Amino acid sequence: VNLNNVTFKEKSTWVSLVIMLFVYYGYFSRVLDGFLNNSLNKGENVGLFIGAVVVLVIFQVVFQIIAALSNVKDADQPTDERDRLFAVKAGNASGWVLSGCVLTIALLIFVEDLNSIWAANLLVLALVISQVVCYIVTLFYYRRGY
Amino acid sequence: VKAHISNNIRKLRFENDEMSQQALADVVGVTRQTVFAIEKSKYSPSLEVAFRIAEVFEVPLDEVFQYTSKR
Repeated sequence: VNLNNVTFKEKSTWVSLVIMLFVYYGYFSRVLDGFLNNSLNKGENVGLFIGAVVVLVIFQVVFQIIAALSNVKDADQPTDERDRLFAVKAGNASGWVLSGCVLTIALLIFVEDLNSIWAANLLVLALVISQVVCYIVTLFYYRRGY
Repeated sequence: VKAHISNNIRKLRFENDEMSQQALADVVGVTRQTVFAIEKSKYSPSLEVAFRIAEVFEVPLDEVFQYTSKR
């Protein structure tokens, strides 16, 4: 792959995908450990969640700046119709995934009588999955073409 | 019906004083990478962008893009 032919938007999407997977892998592995050891309480979980969001924002800002500085001219270009089309298609797929996940979680809450920590974490997982799908669909169109 | 849209943009750029992808992109209003993707038939542009490209080279649309349907 010749990086000169990769738009800043695509590079930025790769960066976002890697950061998202890295941060939420860390978050959910800690939450799961807490569940398995029966040591996770609401306060600790909220702390982990806020920590994950803060780390995500910091990583995004730092790595997006690094990506932009690696090719200022490309980063300066406004998005064009191809970027917008792929964003719409990815957003559409992501929306379907989010709807499916939320409906499944709602059903689980009704049937299994989940507690609030489980429900909250499943909703966070749904958001993460839908966002990851959004990034992957965007990258799929950039790589495969449309 | 599977369709394929090919184009002569590379040839037309060559015939227009080896116009760069960036120069064409700037006039048409897309990124250079989108011009690259169109040239490689990895992206079919909107009608508006297709007409703008034809306008830049001062040729009819069908001299820039060719449509082949594969049934």
